[in-house]
Amino acid sequence: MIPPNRRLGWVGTTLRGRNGPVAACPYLVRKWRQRTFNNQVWSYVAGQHIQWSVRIAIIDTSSSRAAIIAEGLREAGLTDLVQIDPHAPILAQLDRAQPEVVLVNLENPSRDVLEDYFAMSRALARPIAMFVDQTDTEATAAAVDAGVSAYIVDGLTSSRIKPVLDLAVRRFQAFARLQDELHEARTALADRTAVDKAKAILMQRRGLSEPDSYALLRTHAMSTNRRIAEVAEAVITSEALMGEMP
Amino acid sequence: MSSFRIGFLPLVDAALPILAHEQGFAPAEGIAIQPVRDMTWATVLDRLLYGHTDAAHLIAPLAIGTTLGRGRPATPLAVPFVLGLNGNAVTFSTALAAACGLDGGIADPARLGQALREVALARAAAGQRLRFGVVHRYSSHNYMLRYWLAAVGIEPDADVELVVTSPPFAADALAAGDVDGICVGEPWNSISVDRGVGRIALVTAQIWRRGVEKVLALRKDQLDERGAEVGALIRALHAAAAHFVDPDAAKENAAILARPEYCDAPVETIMRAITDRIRLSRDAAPIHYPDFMFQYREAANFPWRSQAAWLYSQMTRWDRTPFSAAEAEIAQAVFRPDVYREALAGSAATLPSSSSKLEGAVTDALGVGTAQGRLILGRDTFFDRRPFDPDDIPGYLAGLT
Repeated sequence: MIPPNRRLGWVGTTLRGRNGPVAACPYLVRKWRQRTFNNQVWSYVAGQHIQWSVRIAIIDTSSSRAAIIAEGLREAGLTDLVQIDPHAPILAQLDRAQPEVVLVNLENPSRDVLEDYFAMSRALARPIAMFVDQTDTEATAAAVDAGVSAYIVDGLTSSRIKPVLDLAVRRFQAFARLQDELHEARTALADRTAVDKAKAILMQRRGLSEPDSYALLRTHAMSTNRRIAEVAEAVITSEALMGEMP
Repeated sequence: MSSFRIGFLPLVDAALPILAHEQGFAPAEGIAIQPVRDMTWATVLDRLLYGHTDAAHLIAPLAIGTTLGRGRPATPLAVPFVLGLNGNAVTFSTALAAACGLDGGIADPARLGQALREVALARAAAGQRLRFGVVHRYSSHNYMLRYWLAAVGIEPDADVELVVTSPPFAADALAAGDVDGICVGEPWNSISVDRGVGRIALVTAQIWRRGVEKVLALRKDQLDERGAEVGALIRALHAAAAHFVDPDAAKENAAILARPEYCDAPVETIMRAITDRIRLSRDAAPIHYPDFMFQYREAANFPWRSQAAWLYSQMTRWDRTPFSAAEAEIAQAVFRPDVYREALAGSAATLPSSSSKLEGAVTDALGVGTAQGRLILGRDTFFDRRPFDPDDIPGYLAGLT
């Protein structure tokens, strides 16, 4: 049985039928009517199957990261999502959305404002800061390490929060990996361009063949313990500065 | 060498951990400090609670609120050191300053309050309440501003609107017209003035002459585990405080604090704050306001339990929660004069024998007992001259409403 003080969070929760939202839950549905199917909790109410849906709001300074998180949650069947536009008034959007879980990037500059809004909220189910001990300690710590912070309405049981959190964490990490890869790809491209330029300079200046120019760059890099791209940059710089000299 | 990662916001009053790190006071005590900069108090607090940092430069009421479980599940924090007194100001938009008839000099809080009341009530009657930004719900800024407003007859939650503006965004909020005034720490008031978007109306030292400001906060379990190392940290911060008030060091200190990794602000702006020279409006010459930012002297870094008690009294007042003797005790126990004394025992530091005092009751210099003799406390009054007795919070609150 859900403890009495947790019931309020359930009443008013959006209920979804197979064809979309049914109604706001008017009363507490007894737990024995609930069935878990496909990771989703279903209940049989008033002659139809309805789904308990957790409405999740995502607030992120990076809209591409927000999109990646939303995609992951959707794939996991958590489809009641609201992506908050960071460039429009955030509080008005939250007011309309009335989410039960708010995911926000740890370093979001609006966090003090958000916390104040939650504290002032007159809504029945008021989101409070998620915390170690409140859910799974490891899950919470992992979330913060990944850079996710969450506010969750009192009344949502930890078993329902944890999957959301785990997913958000994986998506945050995936995003960080993507960023790293993108950075590497960009660096690699820049490196190759520099090396090509330096080779051309050496070929013209010293009359070397292309393989010999490259070999010269490589030998110099090895003997001075630098990357080939760094040596290439030095060649380009010196050419730019001394290009006019015979 | 044991190390402390210390969270902070870009504010001049984060000076002590920064100077302890930069000027060698930490290594002299056998510890290393690693400053961790953030942009909101929520992030600073999260990092502290989840162990990304070991200690934090924190607004004092937030340490108490976190321990009491306001807005989140309770986690006990401990405050063994106060990072300074006051150093904040209330800055009006230039339009509001003009409407309140602010001229060249420093304003009188009571008289300015009357002028503001007229403007505020007129605006409220027109359905456009004045809006003030404070740095956090649980900040001394919020409590000082509310104390002043209420005392001059402006009901903070009815006649005006108070919103949250994190320090690094306060000047922007004023410039954008999102708020009509801000109560924030330095350099953000002076930056508003230099940008020509604000006029410093009051400094918080005018509201409470010796108001407790930022504190060093740790998780209580960390303090219990790392007692000896925390002692070294307190000694390093105390040495940094002595260095901070040395006039010969001011220029160098300002240059350090101005760096991009700390306050990221002009050296000259920071210099004004740390030398108590306040430029009230863009075209005015800085004026000297003694004790604007109070540090080191008069055992300013000593965590008085009575300071925590005053903050708790304001927390119940503005959260509109009933006074609870049990909560008051928990709130006061967040401040740890015992840890401060133990860390600095045998040093030249002034160690008050008592852990609590009447706040705002010193109208003339007063001598109090310390381990080494007498400590002379300067005037510490509230602008309305109402003293605070930590042993009678209900009586104090009854007198305020």
